[in-house]
Amino acid sequence: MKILFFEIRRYLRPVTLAIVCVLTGFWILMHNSYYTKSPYRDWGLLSVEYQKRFGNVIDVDEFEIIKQDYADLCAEIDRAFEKYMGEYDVHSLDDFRLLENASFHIEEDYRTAAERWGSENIEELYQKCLDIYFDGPMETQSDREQKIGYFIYDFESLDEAAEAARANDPDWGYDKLTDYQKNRILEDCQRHELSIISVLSSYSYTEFRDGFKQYSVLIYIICAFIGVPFLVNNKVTGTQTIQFASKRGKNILKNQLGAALTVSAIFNIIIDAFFYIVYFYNGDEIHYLLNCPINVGAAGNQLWINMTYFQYVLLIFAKVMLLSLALTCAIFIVSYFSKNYIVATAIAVPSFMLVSTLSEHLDYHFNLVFNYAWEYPLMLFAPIAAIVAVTIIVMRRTWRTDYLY
Amino acid sequence: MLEIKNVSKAFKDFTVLEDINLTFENGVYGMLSPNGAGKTTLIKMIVTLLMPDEGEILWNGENISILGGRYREVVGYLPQKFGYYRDDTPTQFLTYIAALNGVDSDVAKERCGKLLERVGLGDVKNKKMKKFSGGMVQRVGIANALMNDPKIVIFDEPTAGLDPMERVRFRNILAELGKTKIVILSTHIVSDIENIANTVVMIKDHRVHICDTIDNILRQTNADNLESAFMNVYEADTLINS
Repeated sequence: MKILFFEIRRYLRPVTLAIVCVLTGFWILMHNSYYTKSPYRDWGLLSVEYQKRFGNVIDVDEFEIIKQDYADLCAEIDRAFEKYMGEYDVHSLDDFRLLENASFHIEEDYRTAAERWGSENIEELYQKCLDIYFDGPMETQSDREQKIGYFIYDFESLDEAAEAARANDPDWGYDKLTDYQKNRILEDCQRHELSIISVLSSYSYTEFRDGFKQYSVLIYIICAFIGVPFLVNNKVTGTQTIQFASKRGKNILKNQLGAALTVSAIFNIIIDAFFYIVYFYNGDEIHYLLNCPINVGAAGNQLWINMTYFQYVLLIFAKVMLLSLALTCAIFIVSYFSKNYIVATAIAVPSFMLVSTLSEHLDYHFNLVFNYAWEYPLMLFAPIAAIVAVTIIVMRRTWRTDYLY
Repeated sequence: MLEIKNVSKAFKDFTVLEDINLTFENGVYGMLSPNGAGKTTLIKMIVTLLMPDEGEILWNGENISILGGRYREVVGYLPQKFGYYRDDTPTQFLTYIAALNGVDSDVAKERCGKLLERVGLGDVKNKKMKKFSGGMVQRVGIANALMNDPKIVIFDEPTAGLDPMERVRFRNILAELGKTKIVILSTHIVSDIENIANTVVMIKDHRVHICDTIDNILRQTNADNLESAFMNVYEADTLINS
């Protein structure tokens, strides 16, 4: 342990810590999404409201309540349209939708709108409706109507999938949904920019995943280069001779690897703390969501693994931590075989880019299906193992076996 | 007692050492040979940085490769190129080496101070070594070799970079060490060996050519001093080959 502490001390100097903090601060400045509020923040408020009213799962009766709430809200909006736009023959939300589609030249709706209001009036009427609906007296109702509308669509999409499945199998239940069907539902929701808006979804529209994805790149960069100095430095300074000739020196690699991993973990935690403070306190302020489960629940059934948003955040932090430690380990081994900083760095740079890109790609599938099967970690860590294997094969001649006995 | 029995070492197709047989007991041994004769290779095998291709090296009758850490615990080594961490102070670096050698931290602290005083670095023991001259770094290396109070001390080109006064100080240290330890000194500076070594080892044509006291070597080579003896042993071949 004493030797481990010596090795950690060598790299955990005030200067190194200062560099990490400055890099992190610079990174945060470059990405203002970390400290500006997301435009989708209010979507999470709906999730919290429904969780308080209905719990973690919405059953059929509760869904009917939501649909009734929506109908009442639409009726209120209709009355408002009648009041402010009745003179223009715009009486309801449906009329507004028709004008909206017409202004986007959706053929059938454009023809209908032209017949009713005249093609030359469509844009003007649509603009008036926008002013009233989004910025005027109906601003609050319109905002809520959109959210609940998407929410209901979300559920009905799920029900449609369920109905289609039951048509083939009357005994079908949600627990029988295949991964393909889950993906299809999720893709459908995301295509319509729903971001899985349901009472239980919260991770996507807070943009935590996207924000932290960018942030994790910084972690990977720093950790990829932590492993490099440890062994390359010994070769460059010549201390390896002294170390290997000592009583415990043959185990120095073990201690240095331990130190590299420890320092990586410490830097990881420091950077995560920066992110947490900036993103969670200045950015989205998602603390109100932390207890919200993120699985999509429909008609009383859990489709995916039940976890809260807090657990999801922890999972992401843990994933990045494990990946960065694996990357540190890999680059450490690479630096053992390389003779100088240039070679080790040349391998470290594409390595962390590969890991970062693959992690992002696999995250998409992870978010589609919270699948803890063995394929995900295997795919995630396979490139790291490949980097190490290629390095050993290419540079095996530089391996001094004599030093190991 | 340190015994080297029938040791050979080759790198790819190039034979460096062949059938080396030597025995070391307490005293100062000087290894004097031209560049490329195999001195450093032999030293590296003694300190377990290299494995012999043939033969064995025994410490008190036991093979050093089997003893492992227990053997290295009693070995102090100053390599030809002494590596150090520039951002460390001598105290920090020696304490680190002491930890590598399993020396208790209190003992290490006390010993570190005494050794640095002994090599004349007591005033700068807490200054970073990146500000040291070559000679000062070399003196840290000498202290480093003695940090674990070894029974075998090996110095490979130890006086490079030392001024005459420091060299004399070093010789005094060696002379004192030689009374109770095996000291192996590999150097090109003949005067260092001439003044302190009890026994001189000369390697020629990959084998031990001479291993004897200085007086006997002078008699055998018909020389007045060790430098002439060195020339007689090696220059005859050079003249023939040229």
